Amino acid sequence: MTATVPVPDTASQDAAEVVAQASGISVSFGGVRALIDVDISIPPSAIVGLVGPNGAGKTTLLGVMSGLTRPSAGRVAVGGADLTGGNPQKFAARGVARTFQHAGLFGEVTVRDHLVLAHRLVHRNHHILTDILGLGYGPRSSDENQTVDEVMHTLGLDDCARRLPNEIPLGTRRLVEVAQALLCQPRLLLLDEPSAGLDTAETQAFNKVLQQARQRYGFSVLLVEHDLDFVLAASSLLYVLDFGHIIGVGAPREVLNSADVRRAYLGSSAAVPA
Amino acid sequence: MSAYIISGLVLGSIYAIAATGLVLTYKSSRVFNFGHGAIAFLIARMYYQFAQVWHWNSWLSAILTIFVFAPAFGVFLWGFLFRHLTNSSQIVRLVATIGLFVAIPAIAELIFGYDPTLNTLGLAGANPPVYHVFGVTLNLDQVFVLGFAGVVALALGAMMRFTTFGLLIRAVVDSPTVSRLVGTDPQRVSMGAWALGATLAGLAGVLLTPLVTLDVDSFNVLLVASFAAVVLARMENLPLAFVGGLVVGVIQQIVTKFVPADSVALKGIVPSMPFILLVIFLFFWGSARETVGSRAAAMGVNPDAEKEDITTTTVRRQRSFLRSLTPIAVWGVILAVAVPLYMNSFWLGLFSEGLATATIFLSFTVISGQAGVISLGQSALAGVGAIAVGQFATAFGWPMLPSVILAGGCAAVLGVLVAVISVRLGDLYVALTTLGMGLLLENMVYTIGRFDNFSIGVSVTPPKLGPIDFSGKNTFYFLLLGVFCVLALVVWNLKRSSTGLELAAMRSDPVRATTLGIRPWRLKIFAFGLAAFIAGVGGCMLAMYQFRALPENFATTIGLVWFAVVATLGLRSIAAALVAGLTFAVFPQIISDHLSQTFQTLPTALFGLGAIAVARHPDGVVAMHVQQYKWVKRKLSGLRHRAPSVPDGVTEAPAA
Amino acid sequence: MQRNAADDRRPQGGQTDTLLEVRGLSVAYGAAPAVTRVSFELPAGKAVVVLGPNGAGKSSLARAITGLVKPTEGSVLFCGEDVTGMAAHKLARRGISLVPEDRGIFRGLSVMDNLRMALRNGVARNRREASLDKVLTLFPVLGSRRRQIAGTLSGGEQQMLALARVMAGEARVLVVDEPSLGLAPQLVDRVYEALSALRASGLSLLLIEQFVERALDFGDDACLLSHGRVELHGPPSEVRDDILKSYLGRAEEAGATASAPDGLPAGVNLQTA
Repeated sequence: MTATVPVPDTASQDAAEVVAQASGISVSFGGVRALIDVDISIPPSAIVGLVGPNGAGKTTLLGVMSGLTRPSAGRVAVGGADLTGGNPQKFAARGVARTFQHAGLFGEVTVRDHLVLAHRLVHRNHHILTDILGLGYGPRSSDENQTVDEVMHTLGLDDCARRLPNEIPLGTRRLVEVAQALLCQPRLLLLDEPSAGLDTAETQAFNKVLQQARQRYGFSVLLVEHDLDFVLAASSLLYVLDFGHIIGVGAPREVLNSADVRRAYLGSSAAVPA
Repeated sequence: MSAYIISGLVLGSIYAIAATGLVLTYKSSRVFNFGHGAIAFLIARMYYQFAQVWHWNSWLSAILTIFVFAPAFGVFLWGFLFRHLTNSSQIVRLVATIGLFVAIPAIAELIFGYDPTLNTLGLAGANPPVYHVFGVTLNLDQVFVLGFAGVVALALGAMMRFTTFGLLIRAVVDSPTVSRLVGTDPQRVSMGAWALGATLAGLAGVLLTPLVTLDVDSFNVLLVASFAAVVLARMENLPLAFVGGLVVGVIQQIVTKFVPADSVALKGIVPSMPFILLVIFLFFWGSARETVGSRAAAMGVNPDAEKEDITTTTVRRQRSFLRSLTPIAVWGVILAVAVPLYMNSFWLGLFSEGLATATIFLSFTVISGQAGVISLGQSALAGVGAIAVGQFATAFGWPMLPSVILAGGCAAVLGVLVAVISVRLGDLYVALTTLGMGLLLENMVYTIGRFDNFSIGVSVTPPKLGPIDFSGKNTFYFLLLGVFCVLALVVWNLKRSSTGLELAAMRSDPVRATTLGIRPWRLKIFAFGLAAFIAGVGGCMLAMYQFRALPENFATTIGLVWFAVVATLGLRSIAAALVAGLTFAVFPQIISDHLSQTFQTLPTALFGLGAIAVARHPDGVVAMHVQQYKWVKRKLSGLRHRAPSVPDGVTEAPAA
Repeated sequence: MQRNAADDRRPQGGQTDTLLEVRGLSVAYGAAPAVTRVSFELPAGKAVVVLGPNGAGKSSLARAITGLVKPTEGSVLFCGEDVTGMAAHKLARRGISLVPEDRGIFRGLSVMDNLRMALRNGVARNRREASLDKVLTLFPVLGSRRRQIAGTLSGGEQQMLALARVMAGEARVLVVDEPSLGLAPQLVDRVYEALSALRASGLSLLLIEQFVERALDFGDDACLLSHGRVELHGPPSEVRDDILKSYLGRAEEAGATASAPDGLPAGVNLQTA
């Protein structure tokens, strides 16, 4: 069975090549302008943070990067291919995977089956007609069981393989989301506030797993977060959104110390005490 | 022309009054009441009982029924049912109101008896005086209609703008949350809205009575016409709904003018106008509101889809293969061995009917249980299958097996057509579209002489395949059992396959599913097609059992009762479809065996109440009883065990 | 539709009384905890500001105190009466009012209708005229727009309407969630002027803010929430520095784990040929 998603080959990638790029993105909902002329560029094998106050447009931007929200202006490209105006399925086929704030997963599907489903969707190795004729039982490809089991083991999900989402704690559900994303062989993983509802220890554990997975598989991450400690620890590049505009981009610590960003967050340019 | 317009306004006024009540309750409690016409029927029937059977003064009767009983009934419905549906999904609410649609007329008949009278009088009494206005002849009843419509429009308008109650309703409709913040309990306001909505339904019903016969079908037309009106008004506000009703009435009458009286082909159009308009309006106005940038609707996913789901019985993981075999083995023994061995020929026949019905019910398992879509047109598709097999096997003389498969294919094509039309619509509008298509089929295709054959139908006989003649009672039973098993196997395969996983994902979280690469519209179209095929084949089987393909046995109203039965027992499980089919065939027989004729509609009433009960306890009737059993156990053992609680007030998660 | 006379009970409190007391309050949405054991007191005529980054649980706290969400543990006392878990509309009638992030106005109704709704539930019939006059004097811009549909007002005017609504309803405790969100600085000034006036007239304020400076200047007591817990609590002068420091992240502790050792088993191979 051949993979239909080309796997990012990090070794040979040109330093200037980007995994995903959005330029000139504007989005309006009714009379509200959620994003105004936003440019964002994700380098290969990097974790890029996206922060900003409430209502800044972070979730909207994630929607644009995953095909759930159509921009009224601008271009979106993933892996060099122009996906502007494409539906989420096109984005998925191009290697974009994402998590959601509500981490509900699929309520009636066991943890393992979440991963099995992702694997089969990526490999497109099943068909409706063969399924109803009873030819669709069991693993659909020779490596399915092995791959699924290994990812579950990696993320520590062995114990809850047969559990339903409402039987496992929130932190574990977020890991299942990531595991499902990994099985989609992503080149870009969009994380929507993964630390919401988690305490500090759980957030740090999540960060560790994320780093390991990224190192291993070489995908890039766009991390939307409120938890600034987490973002500082995890990301190598930071964008700051405020009222739909990008007001800062660069190395995380420097960006957070810039005057514009401080004003947006604190309401003034007061220096942050040492 | 003006004659048609004025008579259109008369009819339209009744539609307008009903539509206004429908939108009022919808806006203030988010429940779209499928039982609205049933309430109108109940009040009308009650009025008839008081005024014509008991000979009370007609105005007194009207006041009692419309202004005393109807609002009380509305409050009762709110307290008993609608108040508890505030946090339920659209699907749960649909099932509840379909239960009302089924139960209320049946209960009305139980209470008042069945009086097949055609001579119903209105407020104007017998022999009402006739007036000539603008060259049009109107009798007093029709003048009353126009008069009441005008009064309603003015009174409601004034109420909304100038009274406190009107202010409260407008506030609650605008934002239930802000209403709570300023100290108003939205539930209380909702109660008032239901009282008023029921009153309007009652008024429409009483006004309609002298113009049509007092039977459920006429009132279904009223119901569907009010649906068309509210869809035209996009559910937005009362004045638009009122005007929508007038428009529907006028169009309906004007079309009469243009249809040649002797045209057989177009004969079905006139009575079908409300259904045609409903489907047209849904197609053009019904698309889920696409906020600029939102893709969800374009993908066949309802962006407002909520998680709680009538098709979710207590969320269980799928049992292992071996454990699933046990109930199958049990049922297999019962049906394949015990029944033919121990039942007499009469009961064997009933079980045969049950199996044929259960086959049709499998289509609900596919479309509603698996794809999460409420389809109210499955009976029409079964009817198409029956009609087709009558033509292929009897009229054309083709062999039975290919005829059945082809008949299923015809139904499947129709099913796919309905799917394509409705794929972008939200849960409610899909239900309405399937209802409209079903009614259209019933009125335009069923009535074709070739199919209907003077209400005798086309004869269909069980086939001979090789040496086996399936006309014998026993062999026919096994044929039906075999067909059910084959289709049940198909459904079972679907559930356990990769496609079944995709469907489960789509049901749970359609937006998340699309980001994995799942294509909901493709799945739904396929589900519609498969469900239609199954319904069509089931229709063939039922026709064989009845020895004829008689379209009127597959009426949409019957289809709604079917839906109520399956919803009660479980839309998700194959076993539930089987039990539902057997129940539907056997239960009415038991009732009529042991109770007198007056209780004839008791089974229907119970089916409707069952659907309502399930809507109140979406975990399923079985789970409800399990809960009750556990509660009793706890009490008996004296333990005070507090179940882990999720906070009741959790209705809204914080915005990011 | 008749209200229970008991619902209109307005507790009378003296100036030095503790009007609102929150003890060990926790809120969770299903499995996800939003607020964990928060406690504080709100005396009459004072303002407590609750600060913290987004996602810290501030809004959930506001919603739990005002009855939009039921807390999972802890209690809320209003003038000594336990009102934990009471429905929002009952709390509103007792005098606990919320101005949520999205202003909490009826966008489809006129300005007058908005105020009428507030008056209806909060104020006895004979006092309504007077209350309305008082409010319109304080916010004259609303008087000139009384027939305008609230959704068409500007952001600042909507915020004024929200505060007017609270004043008209004669609230005792006002919980305001992010009053300065989306407003230009001059408008923010006006909003805080109005809040000062409300405090001076005897209202107690619970102010949720993410813009630290303003809030610290305004409040009598400050509280920093982080991950749903109270991290810092005290008079603004004392906690100011610590709050500012923790706000933008403890950058010093950000020991990058960007190059963590590869802990994944070899042989895991997602990349099929």
